[in-house]
Amino acid sequence: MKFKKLSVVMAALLAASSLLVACGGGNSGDSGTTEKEPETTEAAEEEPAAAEADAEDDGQEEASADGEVTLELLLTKTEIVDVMEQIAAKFCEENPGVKIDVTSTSDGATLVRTRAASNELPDIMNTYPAEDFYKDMFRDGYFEDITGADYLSKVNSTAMEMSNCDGNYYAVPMSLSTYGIYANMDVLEANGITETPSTWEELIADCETLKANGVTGFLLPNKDVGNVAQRFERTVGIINNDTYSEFKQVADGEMEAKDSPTLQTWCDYNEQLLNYTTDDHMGMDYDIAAAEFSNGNGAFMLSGTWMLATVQKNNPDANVELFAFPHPRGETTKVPVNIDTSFSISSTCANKEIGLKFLEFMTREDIAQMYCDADGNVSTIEGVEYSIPQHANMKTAVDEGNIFLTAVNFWPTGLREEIRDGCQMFLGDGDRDAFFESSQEAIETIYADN
Amino acid sequence: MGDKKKKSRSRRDKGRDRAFLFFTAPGFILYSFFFIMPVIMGFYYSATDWDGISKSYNFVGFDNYLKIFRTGQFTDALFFTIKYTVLLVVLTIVLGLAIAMLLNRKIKGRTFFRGIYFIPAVLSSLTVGLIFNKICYYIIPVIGKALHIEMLSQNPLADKNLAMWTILFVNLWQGLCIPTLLFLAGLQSVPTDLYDGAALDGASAWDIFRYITIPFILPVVSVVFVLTLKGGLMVFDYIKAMTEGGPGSSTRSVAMLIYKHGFTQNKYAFAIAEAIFMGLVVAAISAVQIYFTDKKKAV
Repeated sequence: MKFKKLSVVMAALLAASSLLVACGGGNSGDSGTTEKEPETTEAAEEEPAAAEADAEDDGQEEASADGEVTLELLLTKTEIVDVMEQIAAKFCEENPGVKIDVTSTSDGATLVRTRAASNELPDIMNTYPAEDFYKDMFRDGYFEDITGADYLSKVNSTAMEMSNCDGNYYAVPMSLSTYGIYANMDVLEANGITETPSTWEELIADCETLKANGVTGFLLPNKDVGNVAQRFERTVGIINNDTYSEFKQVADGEMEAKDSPTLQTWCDYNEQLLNYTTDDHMGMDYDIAAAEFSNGNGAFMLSGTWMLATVQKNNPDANVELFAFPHPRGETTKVPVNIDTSFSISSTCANKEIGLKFLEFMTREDIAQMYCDADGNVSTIEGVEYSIPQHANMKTAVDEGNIFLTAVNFWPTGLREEIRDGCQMFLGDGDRDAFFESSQEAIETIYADN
Repeated sequence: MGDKKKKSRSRRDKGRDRAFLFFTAPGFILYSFFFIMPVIMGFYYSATDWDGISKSYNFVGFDNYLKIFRTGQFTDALFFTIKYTVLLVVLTIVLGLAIAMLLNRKIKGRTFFRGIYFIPAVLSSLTVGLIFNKICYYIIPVIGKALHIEMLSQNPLADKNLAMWTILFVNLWQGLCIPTLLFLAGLQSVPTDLYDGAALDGASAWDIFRYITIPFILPVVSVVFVLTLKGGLMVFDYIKAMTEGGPGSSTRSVAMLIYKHGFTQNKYAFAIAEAIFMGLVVAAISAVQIYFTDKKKAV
């Protein structure tokens, strides 16, 4: 009897522990969450595995140590893998005895988090120096401090300011991503629209014209909760450049979410845009929407400069243009920017000298040019010619300083992921009260935790 | 004489004990290292405010546990998980048994059908989820529109009422294979002379099923029950691949919630506290289940 009781307890504990272990077991970081920028979601679950495998090879080669140095270069942006492989090959050519293994993942945050926890960060990797997640890692000494390096003087001062962490620098910013509305010019021209709209009224008028002709105005991938979150974050930033303070008032009880002018405007503009989207917008993923857009099955899509590579892959002849998201209340429009690619070397880098040399190599004019041409984002490196006609509007905005650093860099960690469920529900059922209620709870919880 | 015998037995016992120790030690060490240690470490970290990466953290005692019910998220996720598990367990046993009984009949191409029904089991659940994700977008609405079924003329994963059923369907599509196989093996262990005897006595088909088949396959039912229960309570991969918990939070299981807090919001210690709490819930459910199956002496 006693044994029976014991066995019940043991079995129960076993079941419990297997659950816990299973939860911890998620560490290998598979499958594609659209955590950072949901640029490409393809091959989501295979790549991290490949990255891990490569990393293992890497270790073995290092161990064999026959005078050759092997460094791992991890990319959390899958669309730049091709160009980075070419650049790495060039670097190895110029530096005999050096080998660079390029690995990639579309679920950067999870992979970086698990590899940091096991103290196995890749030697070189792309980071997002303006985001709190990386700033915390910089402060913890996971990455090499490169303050004062000569090559940093070649970087645009706005970008340097954005990547400053307590007066120190840990990353070389290579490019700035800008966010706005992509227009498929072929679709617009076929419907008699020759210019991209510059005000909200013009945008809606264009959508009306398209609707009258039976053409989809906006492609809104609302099933993709990561994309919904990003759209929310970028566009509320356009509505009010300082949403941190506005939401802080909500968190402090000085204002209720339902009275927040920014949240109200967000609801208003989405209600309008939903009139011009497809019937199945709630079932549409980002990659499907991007493909539809590239192939001319819709005129507009909200996205950032990183989408161009995907559009051109889907349809090399696509004639697209990125323009600023006009302020829905007619106020001044600024373009949200974020540091898109920047490279850092980890403090566990197998050969720091080579690692630093690689960072310097990236800022060399010809290499930065090569990178910029393939990447499509606005380059931050001095001397690089930015000649991407699709993004001409954005280049002007950056040059004129008509930009602001996007909200996610100021928001308390996790707000974007907490608030997005309510946003997605609103896009599906249009229930404002429910949206304000869930936003109120999300803002209160996250501000209290941070 | 007696003394000598006792002595030799004790020496033999010692030898046997050593052999037992020798055989159990590797398993014990591995189990302790990979299962017990993480659980203890989990308890330790759940009392901190660790974010998963930072090198320093503070002790916060039971704060994380108290925070679990601060919002309705955990209760909602738990309710969803339990509802999902109950449906999964019931449907797996009913459908698995039904398919197994069909496959156990003397029908043409029996081996072929058995093979066909087993194919989904060799695929990874994440792959299956991603495939059905596309099917739900490209194929289901077309069929729904052609047949004028309004409910299915949209991606079923986009409908908060249908999303759970769609995930459940996909889970069953793949998850039925192993239970069916187990049931089939169980059915084949029923002595045929019992069936013959019952038929001679004029027993109805239901009686035969109730009084002969069921008692013989009860141990298999119990095993399937435990396996499916575990699968349902820990459901993650299908949801991750198909809806990410959406629309909104309508298909968010506890495992998804733990993942969200731990991996997208840097609340690592809090996520561990939630996992431990869920572990206790699972332990309670398992204890009840073991108590009942033990009573029936089915295992």
